Amino acid sequence: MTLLYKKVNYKILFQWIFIIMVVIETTPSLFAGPITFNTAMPVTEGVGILRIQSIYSQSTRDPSPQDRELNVLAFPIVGVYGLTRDLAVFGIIPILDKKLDVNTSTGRETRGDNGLGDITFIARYTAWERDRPGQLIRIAPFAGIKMPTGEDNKKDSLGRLPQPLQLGSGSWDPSLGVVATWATLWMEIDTSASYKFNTEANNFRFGDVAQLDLSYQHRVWPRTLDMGVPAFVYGVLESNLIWQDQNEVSRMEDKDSGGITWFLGPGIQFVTKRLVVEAAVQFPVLQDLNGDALKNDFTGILSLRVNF
Amino acid sequence: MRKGLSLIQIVLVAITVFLTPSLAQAQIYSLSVVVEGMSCPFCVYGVEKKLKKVEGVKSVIISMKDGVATLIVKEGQSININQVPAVVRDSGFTPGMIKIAAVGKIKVDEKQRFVLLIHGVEQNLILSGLKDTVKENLLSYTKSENLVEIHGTVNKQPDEAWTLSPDHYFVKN
Repeated sequence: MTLLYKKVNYKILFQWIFIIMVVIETTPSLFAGPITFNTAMPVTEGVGILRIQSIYSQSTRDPSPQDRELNVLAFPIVGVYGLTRDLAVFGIIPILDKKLDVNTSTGRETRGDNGLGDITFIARYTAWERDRPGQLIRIAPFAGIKMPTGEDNKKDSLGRLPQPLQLGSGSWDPSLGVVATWATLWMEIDTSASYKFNTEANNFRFGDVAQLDLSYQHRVWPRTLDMGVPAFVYGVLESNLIWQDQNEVSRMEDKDSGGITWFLGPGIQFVTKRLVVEAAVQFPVLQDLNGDALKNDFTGILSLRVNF
Repeated sequence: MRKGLSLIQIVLVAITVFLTPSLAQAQIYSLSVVVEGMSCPFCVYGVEKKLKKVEGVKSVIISMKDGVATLIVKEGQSININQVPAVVRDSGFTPGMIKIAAVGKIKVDEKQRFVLLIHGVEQNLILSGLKDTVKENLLSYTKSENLVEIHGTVNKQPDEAWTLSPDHYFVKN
């Protein structure tokens, strides 16, 4: 497997699949909430939220003769339920389609897999809150666990897929974090800081991931509020700063893995009492990666949320 | 009808006329509570869903602009004020000022306080903040069987009793 990695130089490239999945999976929201992370989603005791997203990510610009091109299409299904007024649980079920086009000695090949990825459970507890007419502040720590439910030993005609191209990591990976929200009638700010402790499986360990997310939502319509509960349209700007440690293969650090990426994502949200329709595009404004890696071009997100 | 009357005003008047209880009833027929923290349409759903489940509630009208939930009570029924702040808290928000519209009989209790007796729920409201002229009027009502409609702000006291500070009141014939 290690030989295959060196030959095709997949390691760094594929860590981006993982980073993208971290963005999708570790982030769960009493307010409209952000688009690119889940941890701030609002939920009341006895009320549930179903969020279905479609996330497309493209990575190209490979300077090597391999001319690698990575496309990841993800459909994370997120269920949130308020167990008590302060305790909410999240379940994140990703359906994935990963494809890598690469030049090989036998010509252009497409490798990849599709199906269920690793399911993540998160529990969030609202530890501190302050309410005022028309505004609120919440601070809530959360803890999560990613379970190895995705296929992690897929093979194709070239052999076993590199670990980052597998649908699952095969490992149980806990995460910790804290999310804070300040919402008023005309704007909302959410921020989330999290750390994911990745463990070893299949003789491979992804580097730990630290992530700092920030979301600003500004009501652009209606300009003034009348009676009742009008639908809101928010203009959104989100920032995701992600650091990942180097991966380990056979307990040896992979110097061509890990690094820092900073995404900026403009977006829009249409918010009613029962549903939220939202879209955003994340652009990597900074990619300071170790070694040689395939860089992300953009990530597009389309999302629907329903209260029930 | 006046030419300048807006559609919203017409609707509000129609709702008020429709919801006013018959004279034979004594009840809290409308309650408005400030829901502190309610700041977006998506977070309204949970508090509205829970308030609709309060016993006696027919419908809930939310005003995002004012941060107020108004509970309309089913005809012939009343509402227990105690339930409302608890439900708002369970929804993840903080209950603020509560205003009611109630119909009942005025009595003077053993501590010489004016009390509005509400039928349908075991809840009597101690009238507070009364001017002398108001007290004189209310005293005359205690001797009659007339129902009195009072609109005002309620507050829970340390001894769990509720007080009602009237904004205005009138006698129902």
